[in-house]
Amino acid sequence: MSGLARSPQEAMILGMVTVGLLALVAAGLLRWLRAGRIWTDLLVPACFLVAYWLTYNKVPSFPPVGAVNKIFFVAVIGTALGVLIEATGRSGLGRALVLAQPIASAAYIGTARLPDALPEVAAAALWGLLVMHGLSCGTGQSEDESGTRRATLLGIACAGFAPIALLGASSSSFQLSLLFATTIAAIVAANISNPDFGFRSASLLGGAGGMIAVAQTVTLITRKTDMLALAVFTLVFVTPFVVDPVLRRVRATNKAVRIATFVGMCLLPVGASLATVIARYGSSFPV
Amino acid sequence: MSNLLRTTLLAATIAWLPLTAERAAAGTFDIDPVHSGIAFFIDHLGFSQVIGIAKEFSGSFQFDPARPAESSLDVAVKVAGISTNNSQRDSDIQGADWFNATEFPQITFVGHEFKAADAKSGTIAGDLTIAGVTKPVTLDVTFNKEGQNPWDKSHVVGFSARTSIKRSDFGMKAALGMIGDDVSLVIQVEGRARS
Repeated sequence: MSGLARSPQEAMILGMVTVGLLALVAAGLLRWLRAGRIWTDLLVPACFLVAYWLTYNKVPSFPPVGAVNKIFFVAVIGTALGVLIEATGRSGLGRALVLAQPIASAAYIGTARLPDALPEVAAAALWGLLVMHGLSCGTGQSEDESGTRRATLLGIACAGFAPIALLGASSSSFQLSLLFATTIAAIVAANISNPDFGFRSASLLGGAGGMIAVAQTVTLITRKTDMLALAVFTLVFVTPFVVDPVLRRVRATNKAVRIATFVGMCLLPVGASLATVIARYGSSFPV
Repeated sequence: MSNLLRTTLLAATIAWLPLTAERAAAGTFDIDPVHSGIAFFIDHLGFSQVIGIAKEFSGSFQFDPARPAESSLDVAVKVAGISTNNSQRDSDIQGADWFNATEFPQITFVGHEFKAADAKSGTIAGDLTIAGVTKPVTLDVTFNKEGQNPWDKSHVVGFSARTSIKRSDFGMKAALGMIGDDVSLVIQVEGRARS
């Protein structure tokens, strides 16, 4: 607890407000400077790394010892690869890496469980693949709308994963998820009408890749994840594939309406997973 | 009369010699889990010290009372057997934020430097490994007793040890503001000589 907070809850909220403001200032500064998409693309992974540092109070040494420390390097390497892809414009390689990363991440995080728990590690890899596919395939009418959508989806997913992480006996992952979700909300708020906003390879490989590694750690290493809640929650990554037919049906052309519809549809599975968690654990919710 | 006294003294000395030889001999001792224990104490919000125990551990040591510096100690604690008297919490501390039992199922201590302060106390410096992180730790040791167990006639050595570590040194930084960083360890060991 910091000196300003009188309870763990207050410390948590204070941390979220602080990182949210920092992300808002950083995103606003980049927008004011008219930084290109490569720079705005770095915001999301940078926020993930800051959230990690605030949660675990450390930058792990290399080589990392244990899954929690590996998460940091999954995000750092993902960010570096993402920047490289954007700088060289090799989108084909980027697409391949976005799909390969969750598989590599599952194998790396779950090394201790191989070969005995190969089916579980494979399931975690496939889950990560689905998440990445959902995050990278959803497209809006313009690139900035696509970027906003992807960032929004990742932010809502982080907030939705937090209670699953808490029930999965990982208060640190709970904290990290909420801190990261707050920073993403700030980034989206600052860039809602920014045509230069990009949620590209670095955001996917560094930011989303880092969060996938967090979820894989909770499921493969801590091994207390509620699978029903996780299954319901995972439906949020299907939203990008079903939202466009809905938008066409309602003939929504205004970006704000389209984004609001997207947010509403993302909140449905996240709300359902939260309801699942509460229904299954009720008063034993370990707050 | 003096012959009788001399004979008696000689007989007593001869009878005592094997015991002395046994006591002085270096031996390998297996830790007796039934009469040994490892407990830890950790602060909870400043209100109390939560007590945890290691239910499953094993190890051995080599001990020579005449040459304590040449002793050695190896202990392994099964992380899955750590209990804090609350099943929810016991399950939680097995996770990646804490002991990470999946990747690091054992806590180990290897003692490699023994220093006697006096006939009854001393220190054991060694390497403690928790969650894959190894740090030097020094145990303050009190030598309790060495002798024969009257029940099974086994040769037993008993000592008590204490130390304090910081969990953050071992990468366990979860909930640092609420749950203490300093962990006190209290160890009671009874070792039985290998026959």
